[in-house]
Amino acid sequence: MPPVLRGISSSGSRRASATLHALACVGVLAPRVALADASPSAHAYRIEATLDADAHVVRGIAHIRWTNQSRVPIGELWLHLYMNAFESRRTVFMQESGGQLRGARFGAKGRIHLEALRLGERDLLPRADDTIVPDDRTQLRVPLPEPVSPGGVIELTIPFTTTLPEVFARAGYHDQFHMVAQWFPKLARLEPDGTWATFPYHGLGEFYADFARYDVTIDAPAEHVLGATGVEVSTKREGPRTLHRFVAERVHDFAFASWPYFARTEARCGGVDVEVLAPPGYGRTARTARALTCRGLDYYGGLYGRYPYPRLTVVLPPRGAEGAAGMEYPMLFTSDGGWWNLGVVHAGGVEETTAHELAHQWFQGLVATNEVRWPMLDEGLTSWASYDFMASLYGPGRSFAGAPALDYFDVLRPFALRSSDPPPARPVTSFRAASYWRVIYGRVPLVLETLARTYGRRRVHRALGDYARRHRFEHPGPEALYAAFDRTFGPWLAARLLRPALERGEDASVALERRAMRPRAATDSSGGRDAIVGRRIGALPLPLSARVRCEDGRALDLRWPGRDARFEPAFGSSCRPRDVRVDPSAHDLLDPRRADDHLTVGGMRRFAGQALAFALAWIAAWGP
Amino acid sequence: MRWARRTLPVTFAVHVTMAAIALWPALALGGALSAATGALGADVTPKGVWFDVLAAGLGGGVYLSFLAATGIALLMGAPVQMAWLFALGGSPGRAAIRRGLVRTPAAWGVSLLVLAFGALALLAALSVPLGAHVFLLRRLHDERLHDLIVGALALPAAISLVGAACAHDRARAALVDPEIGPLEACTSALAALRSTLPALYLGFFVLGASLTLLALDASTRGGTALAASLAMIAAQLLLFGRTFARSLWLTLCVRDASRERRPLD
Repeated sequence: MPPVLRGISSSGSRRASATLHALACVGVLAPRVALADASPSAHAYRIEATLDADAHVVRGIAHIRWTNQSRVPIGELWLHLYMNAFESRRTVFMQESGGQLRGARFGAKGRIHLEALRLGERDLLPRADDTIVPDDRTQLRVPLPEPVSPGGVIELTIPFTTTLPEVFARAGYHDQFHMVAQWFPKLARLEPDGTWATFPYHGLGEFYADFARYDVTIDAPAEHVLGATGVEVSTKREGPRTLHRFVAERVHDFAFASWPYFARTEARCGGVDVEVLAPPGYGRTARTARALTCRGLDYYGGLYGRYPYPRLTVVLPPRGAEGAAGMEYPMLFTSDGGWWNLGVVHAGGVEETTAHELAHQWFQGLVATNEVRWPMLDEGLTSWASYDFMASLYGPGRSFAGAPALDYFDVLRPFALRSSDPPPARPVTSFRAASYWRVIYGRVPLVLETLARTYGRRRVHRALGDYARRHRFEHPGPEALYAAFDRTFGPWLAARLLRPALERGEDASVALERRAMRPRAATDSSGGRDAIVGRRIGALPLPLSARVRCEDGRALDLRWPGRDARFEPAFGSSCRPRDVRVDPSAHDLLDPRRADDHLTVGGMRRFAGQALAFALAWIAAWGP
Repeated sequence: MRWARRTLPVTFAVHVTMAAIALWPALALGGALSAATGALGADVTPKGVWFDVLAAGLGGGVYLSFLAATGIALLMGAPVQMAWLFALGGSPGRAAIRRGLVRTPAAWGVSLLVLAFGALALLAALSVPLGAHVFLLRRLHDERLHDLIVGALALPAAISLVGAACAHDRARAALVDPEIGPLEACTSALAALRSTLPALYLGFFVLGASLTLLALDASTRGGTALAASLAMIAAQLLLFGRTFARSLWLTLCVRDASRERRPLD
């Protein structure tokens, strides 16, 4: 555990935890479920489910109460049956993902089968249509016998059977481990104008739903340890089985993990019960995940609004179930990293994954944007928030790794800014996996970090905090983000920088060039040296600084205002420049080539020695 | 010291030969680095700029040059090493080269035999942790315990790799005796593995690797032109140090082989 994470105390011994749990179950201690700042949900899911851990099947019955919150009567419902993404290699998800995720490959199939779809006494299933997209049954259109007027409420009852796939992408099983996500029939979101925001399960996006109350009872083998969205309000042992009842207020999804061998560690962090479920032997990694979660709840909560739920569960999937790692659900997320976590490289392992998935509790969990339509508002904002959090934890310049010290944005910049990629404000269907990573996880954070380094980190925190607090439990689009930044920075920011960067993919590339000059007069102090000129290549008018080093050792700091397309540094007659560097503090992260931001007058080729040393070392390894 | 003075010219000749092979990829890489940084004289020292260079892509020419030079190094490895061994054994320059060329097929034979025996030893050593994983540990849910047990059981595999590399050099050293064939050379090398030779091999390997890493680090240093030049010289001296360390090791092999047989000419 890194020193910065020490000092997060666990809630006590396992025995004490078990006692508290038992008292809660018999009603002596009532678990906190309700939110302090929540109004009653217009929608509610009550699900009774049975997990058959040997057949990897969940049988259940969902009772859904749905309110028409639009302004128009609604004559049909749209349900998402996302487990059907795993029923063949021809589904949209499989086509887009190539049947693999981070190296894990598609194995045993999964599907969801509805036995009925009852509205009162009527079964609507025979008239329902799931052939919206050829070879993909992840959406179900259900015509209603009569329209539901605005404010009207209906109640559906849907018995279903979900067969879990072998886990390779988020949901599924490995041996006795089960990550049960996208597993029940779930209503798409109805927009206020009466249109359904529905889409198949995409390879790169899946989330968009209404906030609802979830009351889910899971009948699981007694030896299984469960972690789920919500608060466990009761457990009841029935022979070899245990009934676990979880309740969550105002969340837009429900997932659970189940495995007999989970080791549980807990802590209470700022009023939130944090629970980490990890495989045995993961002590250090689990403690890191727990400590990071506690720090993150404090950091993100301070910036983007308090985490409103009483509980948060972190799941570390066991070996073989890596496909389930690194995924966010309300009040629950899966992290990543093996037992050997050394804490030297923060990127990719338990540190980054925990920081990232925790940030999703705000950007997606609480500000529930349409992930398919605007992934930049989901993964993009989350990525910047998590890199920013990591920099605050490990120190500036160490967010990627501690030894050697590497800054996440330095690593991202040269790889993420590719002019041929679509701009960030496009739907997931515009991207392939690689361009999605570059643009959404790379370019969007680089845009925000450039603003933070140029105009002040606190202002970006304030703007993003304004956006997150104002639209908590809402479903905003990019306009809400632009408006929040304009409110903080002034009405020019979005038009001048944010929109061009996010909607058109503009960058702030600059370059220094050498121009051959003749001495203008006998008294010309330049002595006929080449002139150095800066030129903007990208369209973003970012204000920059420049540092000139004179031959006598002095340094001059100059400004290159955003409005100026060219930069002609004035050295004065007393300074004979030795070298010129634009943006010496590396604020401009939207410059894909930083190497041409620096010129040395009369410089020399430096690479011959390096190249010879490298080549010789290489040959020595293969030679005699 | 007299021995070191005698070894120095041979080591230098081998180092120059390797440098000649490295020249093509070095030129290709140097040119690509210069082009990738855009302007003549650009400073690549600031953090992050190296990522620009990597992202710019070093081009097929660089990869091709490295591939070709690796092929040449592998092809020339046996004759150069045999000439090196003869020279370390006391043969004068031209005679060492001639004898080295004559014994090259035998050196390749040694490589094939060591490769075959080494692979068998490695498989045998790996079968233990593999068997333990499949038959005993698969149901162990404590991943740390599982990995530590498998890692401990796999240690003999690492030892067999060190043994094979050590035996390879020792067997080639035995070929300095013109009457010894590849099989006999390997047999004598296997016997030598029971001595302190593998430990010495490991020591020289670590020394050589450390010198190489230091050389690579030195090559990236230097803020001014003078400092860069000094760093370049330091890097080259360190790399020569690596070749010299290998020279020491090969001399030990030749002496060990000659003790077993008859005195060298």
